[in-house]
Amino acid sequence: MKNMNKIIASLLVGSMVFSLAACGNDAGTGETTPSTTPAESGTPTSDAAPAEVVKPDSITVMWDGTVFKEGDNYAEEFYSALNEALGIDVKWTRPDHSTYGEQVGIAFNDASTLADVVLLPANYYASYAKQGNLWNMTDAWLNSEIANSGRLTSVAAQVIDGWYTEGPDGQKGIYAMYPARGNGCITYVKATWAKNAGYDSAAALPKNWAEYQDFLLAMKEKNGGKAPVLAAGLVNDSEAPYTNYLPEFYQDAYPDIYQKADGTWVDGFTEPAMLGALERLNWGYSNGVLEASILEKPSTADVRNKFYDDTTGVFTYWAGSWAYTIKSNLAKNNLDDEVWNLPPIAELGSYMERLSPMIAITTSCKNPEGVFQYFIDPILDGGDVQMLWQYGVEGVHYEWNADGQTISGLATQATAGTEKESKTTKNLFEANLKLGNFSGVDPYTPQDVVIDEAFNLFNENSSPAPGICTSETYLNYTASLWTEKSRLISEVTQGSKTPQEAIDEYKSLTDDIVTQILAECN
Amino acid sequence: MEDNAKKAVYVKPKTKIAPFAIFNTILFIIISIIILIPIWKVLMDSFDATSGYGLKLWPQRFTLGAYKMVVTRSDLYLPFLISIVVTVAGSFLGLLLSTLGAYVLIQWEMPGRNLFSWMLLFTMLFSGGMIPTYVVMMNLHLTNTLWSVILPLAINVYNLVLMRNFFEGIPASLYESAKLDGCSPMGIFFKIVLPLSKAALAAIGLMFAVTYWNDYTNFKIYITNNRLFNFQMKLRAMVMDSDLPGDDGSLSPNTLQNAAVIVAIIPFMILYPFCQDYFVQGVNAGAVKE
Amino acid sequence: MLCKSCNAEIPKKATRCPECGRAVVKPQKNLYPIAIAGAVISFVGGFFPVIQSTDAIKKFTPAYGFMNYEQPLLWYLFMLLLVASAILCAIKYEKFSIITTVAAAVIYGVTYANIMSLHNGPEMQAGLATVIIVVGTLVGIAGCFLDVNKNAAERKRKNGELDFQYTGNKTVWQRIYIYRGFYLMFIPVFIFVFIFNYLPMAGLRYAVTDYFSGKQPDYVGIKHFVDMFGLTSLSKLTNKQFMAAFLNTLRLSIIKLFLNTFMAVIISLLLHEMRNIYFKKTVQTIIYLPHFMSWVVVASIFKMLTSASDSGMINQLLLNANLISKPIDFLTSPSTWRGVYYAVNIWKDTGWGTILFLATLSGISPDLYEAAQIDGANRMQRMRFITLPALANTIITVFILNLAKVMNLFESVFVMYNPSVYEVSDVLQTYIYRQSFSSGAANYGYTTAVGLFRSVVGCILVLICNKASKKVRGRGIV
Repeated sequence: MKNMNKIIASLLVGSMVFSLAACGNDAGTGETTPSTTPAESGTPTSDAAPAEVVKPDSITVMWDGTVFKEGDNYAEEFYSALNEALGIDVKWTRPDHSTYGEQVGIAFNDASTLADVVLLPANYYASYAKQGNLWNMTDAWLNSEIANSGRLTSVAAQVIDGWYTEGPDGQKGIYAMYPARGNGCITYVKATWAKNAGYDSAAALPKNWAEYQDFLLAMKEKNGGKAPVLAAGLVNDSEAPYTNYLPEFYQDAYPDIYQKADGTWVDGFTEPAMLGALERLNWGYSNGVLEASILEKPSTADVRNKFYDDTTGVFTYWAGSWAYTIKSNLAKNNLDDEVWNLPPIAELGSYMERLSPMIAITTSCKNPEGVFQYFIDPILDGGDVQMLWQYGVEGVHYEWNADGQTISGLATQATAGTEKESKTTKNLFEANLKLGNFSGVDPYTPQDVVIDEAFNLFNENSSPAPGICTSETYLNYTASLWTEKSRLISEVTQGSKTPQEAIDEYKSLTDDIVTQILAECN
Repeated sequence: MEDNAKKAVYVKPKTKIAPFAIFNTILFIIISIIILIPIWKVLMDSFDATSGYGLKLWPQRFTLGAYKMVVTRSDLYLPFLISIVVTVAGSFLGLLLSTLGAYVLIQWEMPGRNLFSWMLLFTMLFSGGMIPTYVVMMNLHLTNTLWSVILPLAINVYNLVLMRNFFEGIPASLYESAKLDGCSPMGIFFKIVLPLSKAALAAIGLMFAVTYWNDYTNFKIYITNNRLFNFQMKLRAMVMDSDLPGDDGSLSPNTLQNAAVIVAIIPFMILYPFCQDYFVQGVNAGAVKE
Repeated sequence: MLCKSCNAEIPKKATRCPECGRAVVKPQKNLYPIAIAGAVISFVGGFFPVIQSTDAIKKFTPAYGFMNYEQPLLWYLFMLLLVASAILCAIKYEKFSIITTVAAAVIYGVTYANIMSLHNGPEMQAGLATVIIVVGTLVGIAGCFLDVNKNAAERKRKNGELDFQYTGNKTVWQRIYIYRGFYLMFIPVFIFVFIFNYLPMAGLRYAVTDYFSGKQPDYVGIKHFVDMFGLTSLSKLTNKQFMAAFLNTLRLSIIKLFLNTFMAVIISLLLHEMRNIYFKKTVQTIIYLPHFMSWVVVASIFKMLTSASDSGMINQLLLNANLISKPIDFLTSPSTWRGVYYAVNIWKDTGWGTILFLATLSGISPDLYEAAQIDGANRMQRMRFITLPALANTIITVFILNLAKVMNLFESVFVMYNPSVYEVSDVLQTYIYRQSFSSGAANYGYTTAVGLFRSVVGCILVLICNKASKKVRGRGIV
């Protein structure tokens, strides 16, 4: 150790590395600058001369599991059919669905390898638009074929209003779109369980929280002591609207920064409503009506499987075609497939329509106008491409019925084993939720009445989820805030803290941050 | 006389040991069972089509369905192939770098040797950490390629030093005579050092292989494309998120999860009893000299 | 004193190792004029601008150097550290000058990169600082090689004997020529170490920047450290989460280390008493087994075993035995998570940990036991007076080796924790991971700062362990 060389070595290595690294950085800075410039200058060219839009040869797309899954659902057939219909080589990146949000965050680090088109989780949309990661498609949308075609559905205008968000320049604009409404969750109740518990028909289901409590306790008692309710975590901290898997327990509480009806922004976690929600969660857990594994934050697939294999009896999940998927999976497991839809209990009032994920063009895209015109606009073209996005590939995912007006779904590997006639087919979005109508006949054939029943119940009893705050402090601290909120919710649920203690602890930790966020929002 | 007395004293405690030996044997049988129970349960559940939850000695409804699925479904066997490719390529590269580096480090009279030595050892002392490393990988456009999981693990200073210690055990006289015979440095490396270090190569090669096969962290950080996931990633998704391929209803998800665990451990479970001595040797060499 | 190549003990006055014949390298003289000159030159460079305007009429202003910031804290540090390096070299405390020099280099890298990214433009040109500091570096390199040569020659004079066994009495250039092939062989290793170890160190400069994904880093000084240590009211939350992660890191890894070592010692002692060689071998094979499973596999297995829902075997067994009335949330309740974590660690690594102890135990001469038995020592006494003292050194070694790694804790926690137990399970590395990759608006600057803190604490621990190791067993761990 008492050796000159070692010191020299470290001195040498250290300084060599740092001088080299510093030089390297210099080069790096020079490199990245030009790549962002054309993207920023993209907006002016789009409204100057839409005619000059060049059709891209290939597009890279990053998507979660909401289009056909690779492998068992014949995604490859969808890809090639889409390439053919668009005349573009679409290169898909499909990260793991359950960690998709993380993967999107990681992908945005590297502008040079970022896909041209990214499906953003709803809660990323506002912040990424504000940070300047997304291409402003306001003009492109307003000049688009679909926006001017008159085929937009009656609810579309309201949904499109929701797309406007603040950009890096502080102006509101459209930075991403989605061809369908967001949909939402309703609560499904297994008829067998309910009947065992003495509720003979769907009409007898509980109407308010007190009745719901009795109902859950009876469900538990009369069904072998099994906890009836399971959800993907006590709070879904990765995607707004955070409370949608346990609506009866949260009711009017919303544990994030949101805008009240009077226009003021508040922190939902410190609102009085949250106290009640925490008490209800604690009640649910301590009385064993919430399945214990809810604390492990199981994935939605996990929760579904537990409902399918009769571990649980009450399940809040997406309205629409999921109603049918649930029914057919129960049938597959030789269980009674009768499932009742629970109308929102009085305290809840209405189910929450989530903000849909958003299809955005990133600022890494070299030819955003082209991508919009030749990839995004055709999603709702009312014809062949919309058929692909909405139903899949003819002969693979569906086939035309003899009447030539309707279609029926074909079995994929994932759905093999169920009857062909009863197959439902859905690719990215459901027929009930689409924003653009077909130019001709919509070939949609409801495979089962449960889909429409569930959707109608939701449609009649839903209200849109609150928008997401874009203040800079909120963006900086939202991850830390959620860590605390998830922890406190979990602690109260398990009974190691009272609701009031939890909220006091939260306040003492976050007072200054929340004050600053609210000051920036209001 | 004295000899006899000695013997008597010496023999007596041996008979006394008996109760202790029995206790000891039983204790180790229990310990072995504790180690094996979880593995046994997973193994049995992976053959059992019923989603039975308790501990059982044999499957109730025997099935090979889960394994069939792993072998025939592309989303299950591709991760397995990626694991193999990464493990083979990485172990080879790791061994190459370790032997080259170690061979240079035993050249005591080479100017700059100490500099190189300290350059390597300093990395054991201090590191840039997760995020700067991630940014470097990103700037080199290595993220989302298999290079990002092969290259960083290939340079392992600990293994390199271990290799150096093995090399140092080769008698210096061998080098000298080779030198006198007119052998070049490369010649000595290939004709003397490597053939004499087969045990070391096996031990360190196996250490690399285990590291690559079990790698999860690097995949988690650098790979976002699910087509490049290795089996550990796939297993994690299957068990923690129940991200299971749709099945035909004959298997419970539990069976498939358990089968995936078995598939993830099987290569080394088969290989390991034969290589146990190499591993043990590696560990001992690592602690005695560093 | 130990030989560097064969580790044999060398008599004090020997100039050559009796075992392998390698020349003994005596501690050298401690005045390093060339190295000190390098530090001084770099020091001078610190006064000059890193970049300056090309406009000669305005006397090359504006210029940007170390001192352009509102708080030239880094400049002070850089200069102080270089002075410290030079002084430490001169007064024979060269060990500490490693720290100061590297710290100075870090500061220079950070500042240079920052100035370049902030102020470089077409009308700017490289300033003097870069040139001077590069010259200082080159002098340092030269010093390294020349001092080796000089010290070697000096030793030769003193010992009156050839030092270079194979190369004879050659000059440094001749030796470099002789070893040219080896330099070539080192190139791949050098490239790998440079890219994957040293380039990231340069990236530590993000610790003083705000660095959002897809943007350029923006210099913010010590803001993140202020946040980490909760020096403003806005940083209470950050401070709490950071400190929890830091303390958890220490607690989890140190308790784990104690438990694992303790268990490994007990098992080795008992296993050593085992006379049946086949049984012993089988037991060894079994208890080493879990070590080869990845953490993902282990976490998967134990998640299935400990689940609080119907599928958890352990809860089912306890319920059936009427030991509990309600399933225990082993992995999701803060009160039990740590216990499960330690238990899983013991299950996985205790067996593997016995290897070193067993090797030591088998090295104890059976004569000692025989002699003790003759003296009438019983089993406990023999264990206390023969086995444990022999094992003590190994125990301390294992302890030191592992203590140096406590800050590296990551994967085992990462695969076993979940949001319900963040408070008791979150460690620095998982905290960094989550802050960086699990939110849409990650500030890499902040997470790099946390990483830097982790690296520094880790480095200090390694140095302490190294020192301890030298005291205990005569050689360091690095």
